[in-house]
Amino acid sequence: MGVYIFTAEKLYKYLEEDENDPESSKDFGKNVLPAMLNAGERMFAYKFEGYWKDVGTISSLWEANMDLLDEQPTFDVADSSWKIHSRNPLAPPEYLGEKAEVKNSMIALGCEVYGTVEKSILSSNVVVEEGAVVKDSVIMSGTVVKSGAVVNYAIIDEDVTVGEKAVIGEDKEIAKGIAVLGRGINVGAGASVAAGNIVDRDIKEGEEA
Amino acid sequence: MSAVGVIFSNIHDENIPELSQQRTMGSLPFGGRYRLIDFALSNLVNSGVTTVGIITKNNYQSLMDHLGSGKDWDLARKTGGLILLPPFGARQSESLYKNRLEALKGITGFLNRRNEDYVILCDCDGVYRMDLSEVIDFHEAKQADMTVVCHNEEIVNSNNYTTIKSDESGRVTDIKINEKVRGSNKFYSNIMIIGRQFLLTLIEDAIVHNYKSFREDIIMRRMKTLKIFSYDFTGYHATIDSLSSYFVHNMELLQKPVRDELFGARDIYTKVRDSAPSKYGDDSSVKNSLISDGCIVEGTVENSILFRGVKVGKGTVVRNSILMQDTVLGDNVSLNCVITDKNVVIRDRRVLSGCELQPYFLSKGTMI
Repeated sequence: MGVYIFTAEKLYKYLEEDENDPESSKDFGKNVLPAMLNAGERMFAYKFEGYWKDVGTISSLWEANMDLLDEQPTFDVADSSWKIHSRNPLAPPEYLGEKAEVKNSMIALGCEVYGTVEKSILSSNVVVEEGAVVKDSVIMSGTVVKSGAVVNYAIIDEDVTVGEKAVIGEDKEIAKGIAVLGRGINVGAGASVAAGNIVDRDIKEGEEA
Repeated sequence: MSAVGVIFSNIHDENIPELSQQRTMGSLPFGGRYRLIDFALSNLVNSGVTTVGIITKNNYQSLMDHLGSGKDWDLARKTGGLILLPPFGARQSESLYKNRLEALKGITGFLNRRNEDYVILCDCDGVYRMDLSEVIDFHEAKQADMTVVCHNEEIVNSNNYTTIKSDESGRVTDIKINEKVRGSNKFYSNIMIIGRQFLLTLIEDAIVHNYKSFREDIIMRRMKTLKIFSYDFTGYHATIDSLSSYFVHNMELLQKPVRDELFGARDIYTKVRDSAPSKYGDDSSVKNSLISDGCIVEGTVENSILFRGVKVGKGTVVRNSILMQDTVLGDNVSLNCVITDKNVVIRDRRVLSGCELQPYFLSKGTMI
């Protein structure tokens, strides 16, 4: 898991020895820890029983986000006895419009939702215009999904513009993977990004990527 | 330009006894995640003011809790910053101040120790976004002794207001108190720019003459001899002076132009709570509503404002209501035109309703 607790003096001792060892490849897991073990230091493993998720891949990042939507999430970011401290967006409360349809989702401050949001996570200041649909997706701060656009099974980074009637990804049941849009890109009106594709450049109007 | 801000946090408490029983007007929750003082404070800070004195009187624990060190407004500073001015703080006085003039007498020490050229006086009964540095430019250009900020508004329920008339140059020609008016009129916004030394002279003069009222004995009495100018603010300004105007002006935030003007620049600061984003359940339906952070919505919410940490149970329907921080609604509750103060709990299947002109109010911590 990459979480260790050391007696400080021991750690410094072994780090220094490793630094002075010309044979060492200076790798923590390969050199320092085995050196301590071989020297017979009292090394113990603590078995953590709680929620643990490595978010190092696109799909595990998506899954970890979706875990938050469970009715009783194992890892509850809203647990007042174990507050997750963070930067707070400087934004008014989120506004859900007359025609908004929001189900099983998490929505942060400053969002303006006029369209449909299902089983998704919207970070602060995201705009979902009227007639737009966001489903099974994770959308980061400041992104705008224009009217009539469909975002399905996707992760969209910050400050992306998804143009009118653009189509990002496809239904989770049939998609071959998660569609990913990189930070700050512009997807033109009517353009599409296929399921499983990772895009980090602007997509022109009507273009298929 | 250099100016020190002075905010009167209690001065209009009596207008909304329901909501100010346990707090100051300044700490009155507004718009989902704000307190009224946030608007005055943010305007001052965004206009370049770095020292703000806050005059308190009573019930100010909630205000202190909200303001903390002032860091959320960038006012936690080594010099200046946020300075709370409690009653009985400086001068020997036998009783609590009763009006604005007495409150000012109590802070002459604070004003004397400052070195800014101007003082910006403002109250906590307004919701607006105003660049006060423009008002100071106006004050300087007119070489005014005092500049009073005015705005046009339709006031319906108020019992304490000031109407102002001015000539073409902006010079104030008439000031009236509680004049019977119809429709939209030019009201004094309770914001004033005045030279710091000059204000101190006026306060000293008021003490030796045993004057009682800042408005009557200082402003109105000297209207002819002093250069008093009116700065006409044309932006959105809402005066919160009764429970019904509190209700109406909160609901105005559901209109996009109002929201954009107040919050579009993302520079109204408030205390942050590190809450999680709000969660919407499988059967939730939310229309035309403002929902703050940390809410859990399982039911239906329409035309309403939910403050932080509000819970709406399954099958519950909330319409035209304002639910303050940590209100908890059980399942199958029905609310229409209701204002709940903080920490109200409404159990399963309760039905409560007020009407637009007279919203039904539940005080802090009520359990039904």
